[in-house]
Order: sequence, then C-alpha cells, then structure tokens
Amino acid sequence: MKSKIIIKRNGETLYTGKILNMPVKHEAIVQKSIELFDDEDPCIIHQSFAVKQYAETLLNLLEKHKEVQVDDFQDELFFLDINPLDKVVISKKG
Amino acid sequence: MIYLDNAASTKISEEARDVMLHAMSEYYANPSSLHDEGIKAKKALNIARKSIAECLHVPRKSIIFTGSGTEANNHAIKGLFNAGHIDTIITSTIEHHSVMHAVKTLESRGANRIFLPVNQEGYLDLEKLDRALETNKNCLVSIIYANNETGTVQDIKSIHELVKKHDAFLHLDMVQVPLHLPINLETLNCDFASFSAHKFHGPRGVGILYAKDLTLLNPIIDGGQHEFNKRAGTENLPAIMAMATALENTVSSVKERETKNKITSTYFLEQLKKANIDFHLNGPNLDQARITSTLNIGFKHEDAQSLSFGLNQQGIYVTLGSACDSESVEPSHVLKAMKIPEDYIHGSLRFSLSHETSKKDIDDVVNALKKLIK
Repeated sequence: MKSKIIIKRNGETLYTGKILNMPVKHEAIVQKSIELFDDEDPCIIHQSFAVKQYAETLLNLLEKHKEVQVDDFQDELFFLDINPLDKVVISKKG
Repeated sequence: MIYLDNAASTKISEEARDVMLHAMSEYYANPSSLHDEGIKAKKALNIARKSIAECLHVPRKSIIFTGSGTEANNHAIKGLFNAGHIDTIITSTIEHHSVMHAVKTLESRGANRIFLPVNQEGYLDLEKLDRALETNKNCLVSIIYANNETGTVQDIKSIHELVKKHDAFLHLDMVQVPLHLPINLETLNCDFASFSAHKFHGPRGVGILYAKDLTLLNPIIDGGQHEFNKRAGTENLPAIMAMATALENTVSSVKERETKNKITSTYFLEQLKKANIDFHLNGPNLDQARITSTLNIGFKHEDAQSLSFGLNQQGIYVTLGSACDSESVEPSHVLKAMKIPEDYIHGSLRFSLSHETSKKDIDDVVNALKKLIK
C-alpha cells in the first residue's frame, strides 16, 4: 500500500504518487461501500477502506504486468477517475 | 483467522449462547405479567440479578440492567445530574465517548465539566484531580478503570481516597475489567460502575449499572416500573440470563486467563523486537498497572489504516483507534491525549488478545507485519 504509481497516456503523465491517492471516482467508492457495507453514504474511514480495495486490485495487476494497459482491463479498473481510460498505461514507480 | 479485536467485542461463550437460545424459547413471557409464564420469567430474572450481584460482591438491589455499557455510563452521569446531586463532572481526556459526550451534553445544560490530563502512559494526574475537587463543589468523578484502547489501569484506590476526602461521587467505567481483573465492588466502594456483557463473552445489547444507592439516580428512560423504577422497558431476559452465565464463568477464571495473556503479550513484544520492527508500546509496559492483553502499538512512519487493511487481507483482525470526522481520519483522542510521538501515532493499531491467542498466532501476526513494514 506504500507503492507509488505513474499513470500515463501517450507519454503524458496524468498522475504520479501513492497508489492510495490515485484518482478514484466517487461513485465507484459508493458502489464498493454498498457492496461491502450496504451503505450508500460511507464515512471517511469506510471510503478509505473502499479505495484500498481498489488499490489492491491494481496492485495485483501490477504484480503480473510490468505495465498495465488499462484498455485490457477496463472492467477491473473502471474505478479510475480518468476520462477517457483509452490508451492509459499504469506502472509502478521505483 | 486470527481475531485480535477482543476489546471491541468478544465471541459469546458456548455456555452463554446455550442459555440465551434456551431462554428465547422457554422464557418468552414478560417478567411483569402475573401468570405462570410471567412468574417463571420473573424468577429467572431475579436469579440472574442475584448471580451477577454475587459475582460483583454487592446487594442485588444495587444492580440494574441496561441495554449496553454506553447506556450504563450515560445513566450514571445523567441520572445523577438530572436528580440535582451534582454540579460538576470531573473526568479524564481518555474516556470512552459514552462518557465524554454525555458530559459535553450536560455542559450544554449548565453542568461544569473538567477533563483532567493523563501522562504518556495514560495515568491520571492525581494532583490535578485533588485540586479540581478542592475548588469545586458537588462533584462526580467519572473515570475509566481500564482503558479500552491502551489497557492502562488507573490507580483507583488513590482516586477513591481523593473523591471521598472531598465528599464527591465516584463512577467507574469498568467495561473492560471483568475479563482481566478480579472485581469486588464492596472493596472498591465506588458509587457507580458500568459493565457490558459482550466484553466478557456474553451477548450484545445488555449491560449493567451498579449503583450503591439507587435512589440517587433519576431514570433517563421514562416508562414502566422496571428495574426498581430506574430503567423502563421490558427486560431483555435471554440476554440478561446469558450475561449472568458469562460473568460467572469469567470471574471464576480471571487469574489464569490474565496470567496466560501476559505470557502471550510478552512473547508478542519480544518477537516484534527480534524482527527489528520499530514500534512504540502506547501505554504502560507490561509490568505496570494495565490489562496485559490490550496492546496498542505504534509502528514508526506507518499508516495504521494500510497496516490494518494488509493484516485483514491475511485474515488477521485488529482495530484502529481512529475516529472519523467528515474530512479526515484522525488518531484517536486517547492517543492524542497521551501525546504519543508523532512518528508513531499515525501507525498505531490495537491488538487485543484473548486467552485463546496462541504463540503460533503471534508468529503469524509478526510475519505478516514484517511483510507489510518494509
């Protein structure tokens, strides 16, 4: 969870920083909160727990792939708050 | 699965569960009803009350059943204030929210409130308590006997002496105590004490308020004449009966359980040191006055939420002391009041062991932490 990532499109950096601070859609957080807690209005701790679940998904992909081509995993990575997701590439930093 | 969150809630014991299930089908009548089934239920209620009173070494008429430890704390504080017996409530900065928020509520209704500081181990500043009692009249002192986050056990004997010297009332939040320390309320001689069943392998939704003199308290829930006119609402008999069973079992095995807990906790801290993990035990060391199974540990430069998440992924269940406000996750008020060093406070987790926690469990936890803390 301390991992840092770089999100790029066509060589342009869209995000660089801690995986836990990656851009996540609020509606995805709410969706995860409903799935986990049946709560559509999660407190900050539950929101943060939901983000960690998504970070775990991304970390699992980054363990298998040096670079994650988001086009190949649009369903799994739908939570990213990046529009559009086309041609987005994610890699671990350091 | 390694469950290290026993200070939050314990698993109900098999005996208590069996009593509860049996009572749900056999003692369904209202104890206030004057027919055979109601009389049977009333008798069971009285037997449970006597058993609990015996475990706590107090008369049965000093015990009222509540819906939780939180309710018991609220009732002691608000009930005494509402009856006009106190003007000032003196408490500490490391109380459970059920005390802190009850006191703040009463402040808005004219009560004078004093939150006393603690030192870095969580022990109350007794000189300041003495001064507060000296400069205020009609006081209630409400203190958490054993802290739920750090395990710190207060010097209740000295607190009691000061309280009585100044002719004040003493309420003890004893929610964390039954599983870990012998209890004798007659010897403690406090005025009020609160307990909660699910902290000692009983069911949730039931607690105890002890009041040396029940007539001092106003009810905080109005209604029928239940619980000596002090707590209205049909008694939760199956839970009360199960609580009595859980308490009987708990008090009869407290010493052997705490002995085992201390061995396991000592082993835990030793293994963390051996693993070269940089940590800070938030609270007293294991030889001081404390509950030995509640270990609040700060990991240097770590994020407690991430550690907790990582442990959860590996089937290890611990808890954060954090509170959440609308925008941020803050370290708990207890750790802040104890002035835990900044390097450790944000990486603080509570590991609350039980007598069932094995050395193998501890090895697994330390290995998991080693992987998470790189």
